Amino acid sequence: MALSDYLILQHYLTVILLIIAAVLWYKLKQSADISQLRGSRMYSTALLLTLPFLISVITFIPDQIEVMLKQLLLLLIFILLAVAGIRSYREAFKERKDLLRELYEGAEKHPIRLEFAKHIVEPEIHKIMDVKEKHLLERKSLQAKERALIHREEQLQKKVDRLENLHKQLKEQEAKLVTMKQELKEKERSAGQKIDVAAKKQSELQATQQRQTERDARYAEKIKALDQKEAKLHEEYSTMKAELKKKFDQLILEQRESLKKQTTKQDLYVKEREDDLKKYREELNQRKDELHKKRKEVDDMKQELVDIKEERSYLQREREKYQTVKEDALSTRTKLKKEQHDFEKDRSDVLALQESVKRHETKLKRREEDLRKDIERLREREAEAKRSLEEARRGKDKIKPFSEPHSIVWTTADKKDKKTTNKTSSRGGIVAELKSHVNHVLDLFGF
Amino acid sequence: MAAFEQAILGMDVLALFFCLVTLVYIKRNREYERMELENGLNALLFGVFFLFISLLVHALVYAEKNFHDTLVLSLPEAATYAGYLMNIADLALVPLFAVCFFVALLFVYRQLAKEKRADKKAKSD
Repeated sequence: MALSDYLILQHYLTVILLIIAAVLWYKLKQSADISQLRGSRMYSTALLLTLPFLISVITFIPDQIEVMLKQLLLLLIFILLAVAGIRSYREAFKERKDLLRELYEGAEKHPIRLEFAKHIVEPEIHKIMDVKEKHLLERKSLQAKERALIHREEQLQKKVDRLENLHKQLKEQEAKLVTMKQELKEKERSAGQKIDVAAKKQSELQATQQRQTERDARYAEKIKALDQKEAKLHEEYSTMKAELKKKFDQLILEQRESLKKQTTKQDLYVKEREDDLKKYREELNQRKDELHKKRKEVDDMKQELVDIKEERSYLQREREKYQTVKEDALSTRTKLKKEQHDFEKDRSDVLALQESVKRHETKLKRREEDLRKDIERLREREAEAKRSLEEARRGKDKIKPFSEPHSIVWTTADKKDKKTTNKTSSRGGIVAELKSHVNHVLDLFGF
Repeated sequence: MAAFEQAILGMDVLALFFCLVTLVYIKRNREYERMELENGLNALLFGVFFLFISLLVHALVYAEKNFHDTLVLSLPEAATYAGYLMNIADLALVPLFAVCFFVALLFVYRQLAKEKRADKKAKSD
């Protein structure tokens, strides 16, 4: 079923219920006496509320007119209902007032009325007045306390603000320290890298130096061997030269002598000898060539020696350069050591600063916690004071109506019994606690 | 059209005010009513309270119609919500008022009939 159908159904249901109620009401009106019902006029008027809902059920009325009529009727019925309610209330109140007045007037002629008023009512009134004055005084003192508490709270708030500012500054300093720490770490890292590079360089230099010394030793050995070889070659050359000269001279002498001896007879033999000489000459030439070659070799070796000497001087220069580099490395090493030392010093300073910051923070947190606790306590005290103030107010309110003295006397007496025992002790306790608390807070802030 | 809706809204607001006054005075009258007949007034109080809510919904719907342009900016679905509220009021609140009113009269009727029977019995005795 659609929503509109439900709506129509509900409208019909409403109208039917209201009509049944109206029928019931009129039946009741006829059969029973409804004058004993105070709100009878209200019931009668409320039955008129059937009309607007009846209009909404009727379909032939145009929509706008229907809405207007419904609203108008509702307004009128509610005006009537309000009027009926006010009137019945006034009537009932008037009746009650008359009854009360009757009661009061009847008691006026009573013989012990004055005595009752003198001995019972008057002291009670005095007691009530005393209690009222006490309440007023208490209220004033509580107000003063409240003002003092508010003032104290404001001061505490200011202090809290100041502490918060300090906390913020500390946080900023901490952030700065963190950045400084990072910078120092970076510096440390770069210094470590530099030290590593220097160590590498040093190790490389040491290796090159070692290689250089090995090379030098090798070159020295080579030079020595070459010198020895040169000397040997010189000796061989000189001995060979001397031998050849000797042999040549001997052969020439032998040939001359043989030629002298066999001048005529041995021409052939001479020729042969000449051939031999030629051969010897060729051999000599060969030997000469060999010697020349060996000389060349010696020259080459000499050249090599010169080259080696040049290399040696170059190596010497290199060694000097290496010495300078080594000196530089040593100086950088000392510098790095100095930097490291400075860094260690800075680090220790930073650590000390961090520790001091941490100590400050813990102190601050402790102070904050104490302060929070103090504020909570103060709030509790304030709430307690407010509660007691409220109680005092309520006590005052209860005193107001004088038409029922017995109940008032009972409540005030009851309250008095309680308050005389509790209030003095609780108030003194609260004041003492407040004082101790305030002293504690002042001690905390070093006042 | 706008004038019509404004008039309806005005009447709604006035009806709402008088309904509130009625509620207050029904509550005050309850203090002076007899204990046996107090249940009837309680039921009537409930019924008027439901009618008060229904009138409030009606007033809200007409307020939405009157201030639609300004409401659309902050609450674009205002018209839909107003429709839902109207449906709820028509479906539940108005019949509840009728039921409460009927129950109130039933309570009063039963109590008074009981008293009448008791009187008759006393007279016959």
